[in-house]
Amino acid sequence: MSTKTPNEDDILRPIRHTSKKYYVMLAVSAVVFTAFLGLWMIQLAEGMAVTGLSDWGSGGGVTWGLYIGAFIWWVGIAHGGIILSAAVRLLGMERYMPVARLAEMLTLAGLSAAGFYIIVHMGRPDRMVTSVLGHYHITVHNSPLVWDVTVITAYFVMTATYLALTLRYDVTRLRDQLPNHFEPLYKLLTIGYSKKEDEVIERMVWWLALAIIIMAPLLLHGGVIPWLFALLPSYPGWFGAIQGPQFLTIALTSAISGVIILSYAFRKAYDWGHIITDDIFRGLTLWLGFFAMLFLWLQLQQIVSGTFHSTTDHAYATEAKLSHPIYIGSIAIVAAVLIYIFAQTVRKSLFSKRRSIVAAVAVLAATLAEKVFFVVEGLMYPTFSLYEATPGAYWPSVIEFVSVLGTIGMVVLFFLLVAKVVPVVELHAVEHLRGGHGHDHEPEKATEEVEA
Amino acid sequence: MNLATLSMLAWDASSYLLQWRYHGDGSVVSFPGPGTWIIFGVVLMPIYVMALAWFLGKPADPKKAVMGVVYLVGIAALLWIGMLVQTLMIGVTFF
Repeated sequence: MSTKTPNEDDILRPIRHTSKKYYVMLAVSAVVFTAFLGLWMIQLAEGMAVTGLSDWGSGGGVTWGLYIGAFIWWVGIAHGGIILSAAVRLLGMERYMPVARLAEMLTLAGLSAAGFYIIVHMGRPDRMVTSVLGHYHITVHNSPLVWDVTVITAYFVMTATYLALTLRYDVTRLRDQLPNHFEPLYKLLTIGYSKKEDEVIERMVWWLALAIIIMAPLLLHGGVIPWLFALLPSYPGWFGAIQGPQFLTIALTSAISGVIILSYAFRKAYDWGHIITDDIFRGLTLWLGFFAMLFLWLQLQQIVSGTFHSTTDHAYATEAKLSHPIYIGSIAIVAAVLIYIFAQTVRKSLFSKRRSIVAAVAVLAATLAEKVFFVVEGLMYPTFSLYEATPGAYWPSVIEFVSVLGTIGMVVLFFLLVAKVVPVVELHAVEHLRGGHGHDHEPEKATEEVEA
Repeated sequence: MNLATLSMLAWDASSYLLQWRYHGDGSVVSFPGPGTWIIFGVVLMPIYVMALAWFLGKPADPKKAVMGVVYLVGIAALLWIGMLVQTLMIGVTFF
């Protein structure tokens, strides 16, 4: 572990220095994202016929596919961020303080990607307003889709508020070292700031963290999103109370994987070995193992209940699932990751950051595949084989495949741009690593009231 | 205008505004259903508790609590007003 002492210059490095690699990444992610936007324009012009999706019941195949699977996947990744950050604040897990803000930003980026998928999947973007918002007072009473939009909006708003409130402390104290061309933004972020507010804001953020840690995992990814599927009894592959906890474990495994990859990228790019330490990677990898174990355990529950004296439709859906290579492959990957993580806890020499990254990427690939498979198979095997007379298959079109790369490009772009504007590591984290436990800074503009 | 006519008018107005109507089986759509209780009674409960704690907790600073609420409402408004503007633009451009 490095013996360097973290300081403000370290966390300002992404803002002040721009390497060639940065520009290359910016160009690549912009090209990938733009390519998807271009293909999306084709979809807007031609309609959903350019996807591999079909009309419900009459066209064969399925109406929900990769778009919905990837939507769930992105919301899951988004969870890790804010939950990790909230855990730092509520449970005193200060070890993870240096990656807390990166994680919060991952939540915003992940939710943006998820929201984008809803818009893309709707076919016509204006339906978000004309169908969802325009009839909200009617549909919210009975539509899980509208519950979903409500809670995702709430989650995004809470996370953005959390980030905005915690940035006030940092931006005020580091203002003189931040670039002048973003002055209006910094003024907006610190509007009405006074040093006296620190304690009050800290208390407000604590309550915000509590609200998020209850709402996001238990009521969003363990609630509203699985209810899109789990409340439909005529789809045995989806139906059942277990989907809440199952979705949550998938979210947490993919979320921790996302945080591992992101932390590694920033550590490598900005020489942050003394800030995002090996210890953090070990801890995150262990959490990944724990959540992977829960994921597999709940899959086992579903397999046992679907194979041992289950109802005919449930047995049929389970049999179809167990005979598909995508399902088997996804489960095998997560199991392999779990075995590696257990092994490296027993034999420490097996741990390396590179292996953690491989494990994280593997889990992300497996959870995306499993989620898309879950969505498609649920529709393929309804009770009474309702659509047997109109058989069909589903394979995502090029546009759907590119959407995954495009949204990844969008999230990478988000980080490349945000890292140029505000510190992605909290000032509190640097103060904590130096041994002071926060608030050892006087604001640069040592005024009682910094008026915008 | 007598009371019966007034009540009929109020009935029709509420039917129009809330878009409720009878199903064939006699049940009513658009009245508060399970989602109303789940979303506004359970799922959003942490937000109500948080907002109360902002205003009632110590050290108290009502101005900062109001600022927090403005953040929440402002960001939500930005999101949906952005969508509304986009919808209007689509309407003007294509329809």
